[in-house]
Amino acid sequence: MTPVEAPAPAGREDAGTAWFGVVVALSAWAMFFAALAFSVGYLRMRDPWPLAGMPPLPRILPAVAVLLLGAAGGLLHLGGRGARAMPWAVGALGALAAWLAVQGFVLSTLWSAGLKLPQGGAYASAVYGLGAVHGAHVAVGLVGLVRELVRGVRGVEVRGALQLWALYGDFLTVTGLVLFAAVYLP
Amino acid sequence: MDTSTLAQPEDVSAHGHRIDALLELSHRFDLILAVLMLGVLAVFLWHFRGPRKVAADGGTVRSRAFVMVAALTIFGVVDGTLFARSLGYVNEVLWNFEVPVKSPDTVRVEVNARQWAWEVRYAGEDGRFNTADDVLTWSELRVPVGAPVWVQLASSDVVHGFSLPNLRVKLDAVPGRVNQTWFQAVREGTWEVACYQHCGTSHYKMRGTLTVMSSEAYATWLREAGRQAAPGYDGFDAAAHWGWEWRPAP
Amino acid sequence: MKLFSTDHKVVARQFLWAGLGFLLVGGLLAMLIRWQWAWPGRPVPGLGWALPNSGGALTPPAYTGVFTMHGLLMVFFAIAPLLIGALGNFVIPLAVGARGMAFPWVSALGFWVFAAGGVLVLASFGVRLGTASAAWTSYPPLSTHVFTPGVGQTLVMAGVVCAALSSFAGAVNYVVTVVRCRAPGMGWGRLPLTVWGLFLTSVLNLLFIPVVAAATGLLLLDRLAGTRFFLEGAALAPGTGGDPMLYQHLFWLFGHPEVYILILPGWGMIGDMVAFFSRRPAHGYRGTVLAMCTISALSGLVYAHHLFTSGLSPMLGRAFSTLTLIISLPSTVLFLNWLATLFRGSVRLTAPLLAAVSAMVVFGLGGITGLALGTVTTDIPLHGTMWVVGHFHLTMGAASFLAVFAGLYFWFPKMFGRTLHAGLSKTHVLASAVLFLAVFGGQLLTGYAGQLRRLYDPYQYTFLKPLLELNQWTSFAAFALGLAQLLFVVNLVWTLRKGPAADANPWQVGTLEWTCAPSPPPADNYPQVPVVVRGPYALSQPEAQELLGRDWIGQAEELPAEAKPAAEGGAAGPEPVPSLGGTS
Repeated sequence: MTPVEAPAPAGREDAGTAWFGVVVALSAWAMFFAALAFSVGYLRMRDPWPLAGMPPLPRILPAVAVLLLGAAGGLLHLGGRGARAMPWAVGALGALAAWLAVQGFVLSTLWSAGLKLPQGGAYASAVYGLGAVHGAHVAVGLVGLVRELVRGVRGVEVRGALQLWALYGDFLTVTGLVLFAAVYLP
Repeated sequence: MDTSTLAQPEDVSAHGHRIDALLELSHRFDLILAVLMLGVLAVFLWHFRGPRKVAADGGTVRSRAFVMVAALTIFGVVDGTLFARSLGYVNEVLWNFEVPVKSPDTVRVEVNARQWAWEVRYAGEDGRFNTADDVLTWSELRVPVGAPVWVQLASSDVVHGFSLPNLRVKLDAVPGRVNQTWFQAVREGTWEVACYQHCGTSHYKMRGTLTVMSSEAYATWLREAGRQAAPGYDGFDAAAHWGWEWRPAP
Repeated sequence: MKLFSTDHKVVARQFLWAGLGFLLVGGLLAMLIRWQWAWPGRPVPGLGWALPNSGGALTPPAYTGVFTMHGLLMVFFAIAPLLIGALGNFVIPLAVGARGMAFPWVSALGFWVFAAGGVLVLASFGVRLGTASAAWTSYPPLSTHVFTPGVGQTLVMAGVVCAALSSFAGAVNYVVTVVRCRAPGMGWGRLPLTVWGLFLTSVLNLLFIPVVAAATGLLLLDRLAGTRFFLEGAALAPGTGGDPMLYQHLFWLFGHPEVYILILPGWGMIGDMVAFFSRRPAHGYRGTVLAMCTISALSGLVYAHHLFTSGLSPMLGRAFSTLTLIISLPSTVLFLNWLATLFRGSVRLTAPLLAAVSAMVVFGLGGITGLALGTVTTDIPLHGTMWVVGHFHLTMGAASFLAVFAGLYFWFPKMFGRTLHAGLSKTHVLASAVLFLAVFGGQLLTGYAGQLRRLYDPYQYTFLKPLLELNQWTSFAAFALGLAQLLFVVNLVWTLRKGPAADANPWQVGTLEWTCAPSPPPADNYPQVPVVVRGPYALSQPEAQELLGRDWIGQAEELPAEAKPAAEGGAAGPEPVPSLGGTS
């Protein structure tokens, strides 16, 4: 039998495989945030929050922050589908930057209100520690978008990459929601 | 080499023999399984070696069924027996505090694990812990023979592992929580307290003594120690007031 | 060799050398532990430069670093990179018929992140307050800055995070490659068991590596950023601390699946080797795959059997004990299927087969010692003793080690295009297996007699004094085990320099890497992408004997009678790459 001149097997460099890989990686990495949420739940079962003498947590601004993440993801999805991807990407970048501003404001206000480390114990640790970890993930998204924008300005076709970053935006939103529920909700 | 060194530490507890018996049984199962496994493997490797006619299937219905039935049988017999008998011990002894709670002879001790010693606290005449008449010892646990000893255990620093090898007791000492266990010694004598959880450079030196005394000797010792405790009490030594109000049974 | 190569075969070799290097370091650390237990406090010959204050004798603080790093290096930097990094990277694309990994740059990235982690852990040995010393489990509060100050512990934790991220990246690659890049005709039911083992390991890595990343990350935050996730104790005002038990739950939620991560590829390889070298199909292929999947699914549900003495609630204790014992059922199915494969086969005692069978033996024996640990009652006298150590060294150390060598001796001709010396290989395997049983058997015996783990000087306890002689014998066996590894080193070095060239298919089996690619394969693996028409165990099939005059058929090989009319005049092809004789 003549060897079938098969096309390169489904997968190695095609968009479907890239999409599948990103979905697998992000879904699995969500376990990291599941473990963090479990930790918070565990600690809250021992000592209810807020601890005596410590400021309570706001809810509106952190909720707004999660919505900003959702907006970033949504904008990227729209960009992936529309005629020109770049403006949507800029919008998403703005949403992420706004997230950093909002979360930064929330945390610095809490700090000046008296919720400090290490005196704040597990309560403060969850707020700042998990906030910082999630924030680092948002920062990665920010840097990634900047990179795509720079490449896009130089003429490289970035629509495919932006579609993958849209998935990352969804990841940030879902994990943000999980942490919001674990840390900020009563 | 003296094979008696290969035996478990001597058991002087009231109920530990149940653990030892179950462990013996598991060893017998282990031996039977090991002999079967190695024997069959050796026979197969020998008998089926070299060029010969081969059964070219990936398992027939019969052979696959045989494997499942064999696996289920081994599992059912070995695991089932071990599990069922283990349940008996944990339900009746390990997790059952009825005996120490109800017995009038129960001796209550609070143990605080530290790097690298065991602090033991007895309630003293007033029957309350963390008061001025408490008797405190360092790495010395004294108990009367035959009486249930109810232990509440904590740690001031890192996780330690409180073990009485000759009474088949093992319990983690975790900072921030109070774990509980109980035991009953059936013979007088002196044995050891050991730490089984790595707790720092001198983990290997966290040896204590467990002295099981007659009830009279124990009562005498406790009375005398109590008499000496009161004048030695230092109200300003905050670190020494690690005791807690006795917790109810879990 | 280009350093940042995206060729999975090159990355595999990088993992191989790095893994072997760390195996050596981890092994030497083990020898130090054995020395200390045989001759407590006596200076170790040749170690004066490392421990000048004690003249070369291990001190208690040095000892805590030694056993900590032995465990950490072996788990994260030796076994995982060898079994999963090296063999996984090499085998997966070739065995599924792909030209490479789904994301080749991720392979390279995975190695270099691992290497960075390796640099961090090695650097920790040189810092003033010493390397990590809180045991490989790094339980807080001991592992926090309060009780283990200094940068050594921090460096090692960071190194572990790097190794974890590397495993995670590799796992994404493996899963996507197996799912998306299989050659035409390579259905899931035609995958060799090795690929199944590596695939399931990758699924577990994906799920549970993030959990250890969280545990270690939170610990690092406690060490460096003033958080209080795990710190609690007299120094803190009550109610403001965290809970050390939280770490234990997170760690073991990863830790237990990790032991399956470190053995699943080995199980897959054993399944393949006993089939290939009995010259018959693997018995109960579907049952074996199902058993491996079941064990993977259960792996996260049994973790708290590590916590039986921690004050766990009785309900949880009973639940975890039940689940732990249930795992022995699929494990038994695996073992019986391997035995059944040998039954009525035509067994060739090659080095890979001997390694696979040795792995079966040590795993089987080690596994049954676990029964006493899974039952709460019998766990009490054994928890924290050398019985536990013997159990996991047999099942995780010896079995995985022997599986690595089964894989290495098997795929060596394909990886390097040369043939190892068969006699040396077989002697190495058998000597290692026997000595493993001696050393870890000795551990089991001392554990039963009560010897607790991680003791600088066990004989401080009167009840352990009589164990000195047994420990000495065990140490002699351990030194012999170390020396036996020279058999492999000599074989390896000599073969790479002057060994005879290897055929394309010296083992005469049907999987794609042996039948469709030369030894070693070119950068894009296959001259033509194979089209798969049958499973991996078409051995001793009557048609093959009649039509081809041999007892094996390639997975992508058409039998002459099945040649399609369109290819008239064509030979029975693709011609299996010719192999002559082959290694014994």
